[in-house]
Amino acid sequence: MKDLFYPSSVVVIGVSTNHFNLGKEIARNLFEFQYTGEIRLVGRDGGTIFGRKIHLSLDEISDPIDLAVILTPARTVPSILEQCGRKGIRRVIIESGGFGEFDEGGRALGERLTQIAEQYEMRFIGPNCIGIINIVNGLAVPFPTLKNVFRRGGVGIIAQSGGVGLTYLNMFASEQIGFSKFAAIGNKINVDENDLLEYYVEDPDTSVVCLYLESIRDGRRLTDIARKSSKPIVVHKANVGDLSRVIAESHTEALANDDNVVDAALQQSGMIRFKDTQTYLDFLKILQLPQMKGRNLAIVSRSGGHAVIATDAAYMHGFKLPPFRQDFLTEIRKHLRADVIRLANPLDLGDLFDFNVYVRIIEHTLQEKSVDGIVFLHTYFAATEGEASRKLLRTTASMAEQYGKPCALCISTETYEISRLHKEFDFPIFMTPERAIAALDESIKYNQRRTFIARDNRLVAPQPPVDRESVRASIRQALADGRSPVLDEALAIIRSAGIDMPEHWVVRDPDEVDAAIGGLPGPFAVKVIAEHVSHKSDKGGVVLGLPDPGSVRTAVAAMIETFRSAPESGFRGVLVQEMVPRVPGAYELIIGGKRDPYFGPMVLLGHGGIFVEVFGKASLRMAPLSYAEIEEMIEELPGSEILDGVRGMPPVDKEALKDAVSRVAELMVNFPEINRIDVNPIVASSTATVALDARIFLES
Amino acid sequence: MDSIQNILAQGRKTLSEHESKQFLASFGIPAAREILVGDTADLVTACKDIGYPLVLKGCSPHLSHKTERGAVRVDIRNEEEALQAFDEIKRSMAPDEVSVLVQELISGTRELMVGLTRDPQFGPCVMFGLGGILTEILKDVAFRVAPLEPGDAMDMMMQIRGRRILEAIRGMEAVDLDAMASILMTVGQIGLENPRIQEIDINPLIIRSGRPVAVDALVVLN
Repeated sequence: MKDLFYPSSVVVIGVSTNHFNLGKEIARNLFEFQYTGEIRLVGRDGGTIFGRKIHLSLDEISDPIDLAVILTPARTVPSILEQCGRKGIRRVIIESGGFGEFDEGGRALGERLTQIAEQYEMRFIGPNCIGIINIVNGLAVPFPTLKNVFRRGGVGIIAQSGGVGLTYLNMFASEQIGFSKFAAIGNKINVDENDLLEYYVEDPDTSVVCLYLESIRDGRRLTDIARKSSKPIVVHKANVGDLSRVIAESHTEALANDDNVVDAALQQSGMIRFKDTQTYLDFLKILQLPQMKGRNLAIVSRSGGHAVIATDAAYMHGFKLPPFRQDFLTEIRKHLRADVIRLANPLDLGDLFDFNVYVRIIEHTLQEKSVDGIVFLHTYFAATEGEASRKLLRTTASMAEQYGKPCALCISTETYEISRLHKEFDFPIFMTPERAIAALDESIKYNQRRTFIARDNRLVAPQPPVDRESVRASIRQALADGRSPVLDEALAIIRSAGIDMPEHWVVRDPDEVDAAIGGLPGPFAVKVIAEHVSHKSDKGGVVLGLPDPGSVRTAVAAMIETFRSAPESGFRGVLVQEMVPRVPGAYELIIGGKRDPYFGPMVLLGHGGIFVEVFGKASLRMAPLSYAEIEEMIEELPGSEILDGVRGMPPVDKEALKDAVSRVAELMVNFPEINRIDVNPIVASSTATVALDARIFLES
Repeated sequence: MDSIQNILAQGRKTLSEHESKQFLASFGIPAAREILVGDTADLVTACKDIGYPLVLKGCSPHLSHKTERGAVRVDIRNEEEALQAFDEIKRSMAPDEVSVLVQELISGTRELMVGLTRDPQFGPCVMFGLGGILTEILKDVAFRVAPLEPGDAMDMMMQIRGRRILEAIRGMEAVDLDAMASILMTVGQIGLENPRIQEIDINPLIIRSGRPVAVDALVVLN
């Protein structure tokens, strides 16, 4: 990938002197950004532009070329790419549109590009994109005409949309954030976000990676790269609902992902996802400051009201406002002319007008061991206090840098002054304390996540292990019949995986009931075994709470009667199941597995029974899992406190629950034939975790 | 039961569970059937009257956190179990104030809560939310300032995050929203008419065949 960004010569193909020609704008940008390498131009009409000759074809150029940028009609691109290949150009950016994002014919052209690239061992970005910018060497090949107003800095940008990418550039430039590399990758049929991400993570000029994506094709690789990255990876993944699906597909050939899976996978691998541009930007701004190491915040404000608002925000985001030490307060008091302010945290500077005292107070606050970061709220009128305030803010920012603690500057002043600060400062400023504090919170969570990932790498290995031979035999049997396992087979697989369940028997005649259940005390459940009935209870295929063999026989007889007369149900028999006594503090949960086309095997833990309605959200993770991750899944389950025992109830045996989750993960990882598993319900109590029902669907 | 004035005259600030429910029932709020007993002879008669399975609860204005103190026994199925439970509950109470509630067992998996709080600025406010253990965990509660119109009552029920449990889910009937609304409005009215009531906590209000029944309640005076 490095070769894409550091070519010593570039040829732009598709340049003409025509006023509307976009190819010449690519050339213009290369001059505007003062590209340090050789620039060659090719266009079928020839001529001269920017004092350079436009060659009629690549063949006219005898020198070797490192990078070609193509912006010609889609149908001409394959042959041009082939010419590039013949000439020995190994890196190409194809900006033309009219490929898979447009129609089927375009998709075929795209496939042709893939073949040619393979044949000549070329890598290309695009098609349907605006390409890349490297601020270090001035390589700027987007076709929109740009002015080099951007700052150089540590943010690397990868965007599936050129428009959004350019918005990032503008937004970052106006918020004092500099960038290192920019790539808009369009249909990403050859080079994709993973290739570039892998490079940015290693690139010494890049310290933060910003991604804008409308689709994720190889989610596993993305998360593998992210997990190993020591640099923050901030993601705006758009295209989350039915409404955006059509526009996204015609925009960049993007197919929608399951958004819950994206959320879970990104979080699990330590990426930070934002769903709106504003919080995305706030977070990047906070990353420009030293890292906040704990949750002890000091709020220093010139206005009491702003201090109250900031304190509310701190409360809502779980920050602590440690009281200042008495000797620290005494020290501050020494600098005050009169006792006009109440010294506390939040610190309301009130009537104090001497900015030198502000500086001393902030420096003292930064020195405080109990303070991890500061939010400083400064309100002023530029006309009267502009110069002194700018000096104060600069001093504050550099002191914070020096002490290695973040000081978020929240400023309220005239609009023209704000614009001036954005131009003159090279450190971020915030307009409201709420946004600064929310971003500080995000940064702390991010660091916690990274710490978790760094220490957590031991994957589950349940003991005794899953009986893989038995599971494989059950799966083979079902596959041979061209179907998914039916109820008793699914239960057998879950049992072979090592998950506890009550005793059950398969009967095909009411007369078999007594022999099956022997002298066991009731109650019992009776469930239909039928190939095409997966929602058994909706079809009258479940009867619960049968107290004795007599009532079981009656229920079995009725069920056989009902389902035998419905051949489309694929009736195979009846399952008689022992019902476990409900102990106090037992909760119905769901453990599930599913195979995502982009992120692979996923495991889900959720509430069952009526709590599904109340709590809704389940926890989701990519498998394989570590025990620490399973613990996290349990903790993040909404209302998981009930599992710790409330109102005198005994706590649930978490080890048993973790074990059950790990076993479903094992099945998903080791048996790619399995498409979906629903162990529902599975009852967790203080003594055990017991599966009561299960469904398994194989890849069709 | 004693009037609020009498209870205040006794120097008490809270009504017992039984008094609380009697008070609320006098305004038409449906409550579980129950009989207060002090000895085993009354217990046996009351159990027959209420019918098994039933619940026994220690009942005293001084007894809070009944469940945690072992003063609640659910699902009592016969006289023998009743006598044993009575004995155990008795031990958790002061000897001179043994009184035990014999209560019908209200079966239903959905638990709600209705409350009243007297806010220093806004006056009596009605609360509605998920009941039982979920009240503390989820804090999924809606507030309205009394008095409530029927529209307010409906609106506040739709405001909680767990509102789906009011619908016909998992083979259960939908909750009778009119009956719920009437309870919410009544509680607001009680707050307006009785300035000495500081708070009311009806929790749980169990949904039996779609209709709410107050199973536990507490009225606190100021």
